[in-house]
Amino acid sequence: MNKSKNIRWEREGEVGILYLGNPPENYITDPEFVSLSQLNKWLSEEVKGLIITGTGRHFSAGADLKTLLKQAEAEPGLFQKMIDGNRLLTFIDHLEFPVVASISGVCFGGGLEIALAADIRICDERSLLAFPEVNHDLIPGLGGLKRLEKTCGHKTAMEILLSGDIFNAKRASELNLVDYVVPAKECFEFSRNYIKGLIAGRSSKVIKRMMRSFRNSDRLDQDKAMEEDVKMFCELAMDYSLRKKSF
Amino acid sequence: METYKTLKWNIYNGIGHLVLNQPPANAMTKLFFVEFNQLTSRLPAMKELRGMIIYGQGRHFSSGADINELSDSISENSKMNNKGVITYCPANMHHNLESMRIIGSMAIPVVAAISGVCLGSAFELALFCHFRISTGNAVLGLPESTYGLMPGLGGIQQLRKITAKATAMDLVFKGSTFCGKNAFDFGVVDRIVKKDHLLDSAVRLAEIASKDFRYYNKKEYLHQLDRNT
Repeated sequence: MNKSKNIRWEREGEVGILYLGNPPENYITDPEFVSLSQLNKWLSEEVKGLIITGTGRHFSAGADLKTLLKQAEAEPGLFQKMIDGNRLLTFIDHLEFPVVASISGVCFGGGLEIALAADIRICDERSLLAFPEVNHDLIPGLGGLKRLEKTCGHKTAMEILLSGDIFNAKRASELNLVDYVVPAKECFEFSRNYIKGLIAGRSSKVIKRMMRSFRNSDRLDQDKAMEEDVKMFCELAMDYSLRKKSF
Repeated sequence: METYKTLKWNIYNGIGHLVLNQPPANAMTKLFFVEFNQLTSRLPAMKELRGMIIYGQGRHFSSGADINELSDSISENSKMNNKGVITYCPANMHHNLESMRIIGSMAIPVVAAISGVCLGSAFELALFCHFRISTGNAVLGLPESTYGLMPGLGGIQQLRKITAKATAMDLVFKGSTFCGKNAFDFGVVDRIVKKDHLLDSAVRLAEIASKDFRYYNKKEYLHQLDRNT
């Protein structure tokens, strides 16, 4: 178990678990909510999957506005801090193994931005999700706008952002904001089993290529992404052929 | 008309019937892909074609590529640099992908009629079709990852177009097989049909969709099929 910036890290076999700290609401006081170098160190220990979750009842109620605004005045300034936060979420988004956000309770603003950097969002039937930024004349500042659009489509994303409405789990699932809704109190257990099911028996090499293929569908045109798939398949097939001969 | 050994190709009443024909499981061997590539390269020029259905001879759609044969041929013909990154893929792999794309980009409706097993590259082929109808107990899946491989013929990208990322990740990572009924539940198969009516329904769907075919009208064609049965 490790601590840094109110973050707790645990590892269960090949799965890393990142707990957002600061209960009960798990407010995020620093956009770079875990130091990137620290996270990198933790992930280098043969991790093949990551769960991000909250400590206690809630995922995270988002940024602590008071602290945030204070940072706007102090050095090195909010702008630099937001850039660091953005870099962190992009890093998580680009990890070459599956990342699951396990969401119970509230998941607002910055918390939802973190959840959107994961590949899969699992919440329980009592979860509440929202981007309330608009109510404070703000916008999501950690890439949440773009990730929301990618996840829910342009129209839904605009409605969520411009309304600032709070969505229950059922509605969030209909809007594709979350992928799985599970009974209350079973969220973490489900998430853990889910991610273990994805990676069990798979080598890092295969996981990495499949993740790359999934990311390619978001960033390349389809033809190019398919050609990359052919290449990666050939790499794996060469390994397969070698393995077979060595038996 | 040229004759093929591993597939059958006939046009009845403007509807092309592509039959994967290597019983019992209609495996997609090297020869199959050669013949498949020959056929697909001719398809776009066939003006009399209004629609097309793809199915397997006998009980099964197809068990997919023979992994041993395929991986050996790839490792003989590929070049890899010392970092383990591939610098040259065999040309036939690109041809196979090209054939899949031709199927996917046909201006006429293409229907996969699935029964028995439909695994690996066979399922990828079905994913390139505009419609997939299946028997409830057909066995589908992308088992590549369980062999330390991944779907390599565009199946992942097609799956992303058809279904949610979470479903696609589930299918690709776990590599488990699932029945036609489950495939329908998570939106990978469009309709479940009794085995006796499978080919009938496929032809009827191709007929319905052939009139001024637009992929974005897919749901409407399926509703028309429902009304006609």
